[in-house]
Amino acid sequence: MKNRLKVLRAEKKWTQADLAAELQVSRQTVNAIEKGKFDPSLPLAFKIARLFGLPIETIFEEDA
Amino acid sequence: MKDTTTKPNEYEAREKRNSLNFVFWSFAYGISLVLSSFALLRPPVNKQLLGFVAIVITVGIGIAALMSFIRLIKGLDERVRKIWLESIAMTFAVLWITFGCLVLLHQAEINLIDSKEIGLLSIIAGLGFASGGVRTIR
Repeated sequence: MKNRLKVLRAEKKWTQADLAAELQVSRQTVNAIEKGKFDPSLPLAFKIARLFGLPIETIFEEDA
Repeated sequence: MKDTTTKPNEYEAREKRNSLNFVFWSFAYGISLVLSSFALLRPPVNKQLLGFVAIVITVGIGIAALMSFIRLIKGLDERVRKIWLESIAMTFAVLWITFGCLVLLHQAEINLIDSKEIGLLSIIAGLGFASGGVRTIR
């Protein structure tokens, strides 16, 4: 699954550690999600969407 | 300028605390096993009584270590928890296969199982957990 997390985080000028603290996960988990190595669960994906104030489908996109 | 100030990551602080707690109880469990074994080699009092006391203490500390491990696993974020659970499953499978081989070797009288080989199983388990731990930081 592709995502725009890195771009959205950069727009807010947050580091991975900042985003990890907002989401209450480890920094490595933020890194893994950004690189597409780990797909978050639905609750975590909703948490990310709420944090950025965007619909979930504008952040996460299914691989073609 | 940043949209937010950096707030402390309570998750990481909690994970560190739970990890230290687990390491402490695991270490205590190891120490209790070693001390019990030494005490039973040269029992200063009745061996059966000492054995009973040693089992009660070791099981008590073992349960504390188990509870601290459950607390650690429950407190992890979903990615790290997934890695740890995969690591536990892999460790269990390796132990199961190794133990099966040891039993067959024992029955064929090629190699008789002794306490050192049982100790080897715990080293294999430790290596399995350690390999899981490495994956969590990548």
